[in-house]
Amino acid sequence: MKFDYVLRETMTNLRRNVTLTIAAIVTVGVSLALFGSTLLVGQGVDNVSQRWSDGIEVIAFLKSDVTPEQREAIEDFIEDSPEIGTWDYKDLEESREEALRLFERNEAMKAKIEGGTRIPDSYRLSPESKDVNLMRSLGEQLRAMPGVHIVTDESDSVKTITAVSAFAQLAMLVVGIGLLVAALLLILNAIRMAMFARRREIEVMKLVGATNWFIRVPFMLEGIVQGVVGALFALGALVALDRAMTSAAENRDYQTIMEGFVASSGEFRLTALVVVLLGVTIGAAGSAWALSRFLRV
Amino acid sequence: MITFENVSKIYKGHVEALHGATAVIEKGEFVFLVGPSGSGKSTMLRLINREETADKGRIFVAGKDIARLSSWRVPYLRRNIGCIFQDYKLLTNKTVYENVAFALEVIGRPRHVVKAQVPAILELVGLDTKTSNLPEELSGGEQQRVSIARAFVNRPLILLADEPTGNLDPATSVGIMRLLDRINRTGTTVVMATHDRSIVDTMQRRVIELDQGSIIRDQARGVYQ
Repeated sequence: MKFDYVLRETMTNLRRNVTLTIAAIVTVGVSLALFGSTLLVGQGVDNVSQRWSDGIEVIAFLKSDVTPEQREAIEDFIEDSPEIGTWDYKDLEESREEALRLFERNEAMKAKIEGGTRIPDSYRLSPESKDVNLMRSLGEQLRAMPGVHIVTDESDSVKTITAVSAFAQLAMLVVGIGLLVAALLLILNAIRMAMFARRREIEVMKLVGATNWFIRVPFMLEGIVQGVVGALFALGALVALDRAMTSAAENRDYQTIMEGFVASSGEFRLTALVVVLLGVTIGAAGSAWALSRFLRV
Repeated sequence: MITFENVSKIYKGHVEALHGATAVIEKGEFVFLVGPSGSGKSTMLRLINREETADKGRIFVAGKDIARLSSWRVPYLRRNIGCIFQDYKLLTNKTVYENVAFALEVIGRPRHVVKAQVPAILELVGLDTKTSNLPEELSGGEQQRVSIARAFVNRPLILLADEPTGNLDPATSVGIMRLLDRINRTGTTVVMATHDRSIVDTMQRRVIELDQGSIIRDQARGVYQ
């Protein structure tokens, strides 16, 4: 009896105020989507920078059919370049182990590596100078040598990604929080309107001795439903973003930049949980605020 | 059943709606509160079901000092007190049956109780043929009967009536008073605020007269004066 009463009243409230309900849900959805994206992108950026935090500035990956002569030529070139401070050679086994470690949190990549995808052996060069142009020309020269597959000098792109994403994250966070406040106020008003529409019923309920909670619960639930539905929309947007990040990371054109720019499934689940909990909290807080301000019992 | 001990109520700091009121109303009594508008009749009724709280003095209802009732217990106090008003306060989007059933549903009475009680009370007030009508399809007297049914369906100990015949013609008013009298005979204490001289004079019940917030007369089997 009580359960279906509460459900019926909540649905009636939501229907009666349909425009305000939609406005509240959309605002909750957009704000939580922005908020969640900030978290996801932040985790992606963390994963990328961790990958490049070892101080290696240039990596020359070798072709699978590299000959010992070609390797000797490359090593001679490195030795003869005073710009290069220290260097190291990673053979196939070491590269594989390192890749497994780096992609520890990227299940798809890990599966590929464990499935036998060949991680090429490589030279790791730490330059003496931090001159970007010097490193560029060094990279160009290495790339032209026989037996070299790809040369990456990620320092630049990683720095750019980090800087741009830090700014984008801050902007999204500010807009997200602004919208979250707007969402809270919209829910507050939706509940207030619902209470106004039902003021006769509330008056009668008080007169015949309905408990305060019995009067409140449908309104609380109305706010929470708005928060949760908004959060579910935000979750949809986050799933799409996560897919986009993963597929960008797998795209060969961006691979060197985007590798590692993925949130792991664990991180995604945590973000999803935060988003849904925030939705519930916003809804409950908005309606609790409305009830404490406008419902005298 | 209801005791006022030297009760004062001051609105917004200066309007004294009730001043040192003392009265004892026994179980099963039928009491008229009379006096001009603003004399404190409605305030007394609103104090009894704790819609208002007294600023001075104490009020006991069914043996309990209601000022000391914590706010979560107030609904349970009100379940013992039925209320009817001049403007009926019916829900316009609900039928006669639903209006009465609502009073039981919102205090969590089980469905089988609602199904048994509502038709019985509607028969008592003489509306058993209009259960599925909306309030707007009824006459004023019939609407007041619905509100009496709603107030009484939970068998309260006390029935408070604030000008229940204020919107009704004399013939209809007599019908409503017969109904209230019948309810009183079941042992329910009835307290009714009214301006209606002829009703008070014909009923010959206890009369408490108020003027500017003070009780100036308390007379068993009194008249309006």
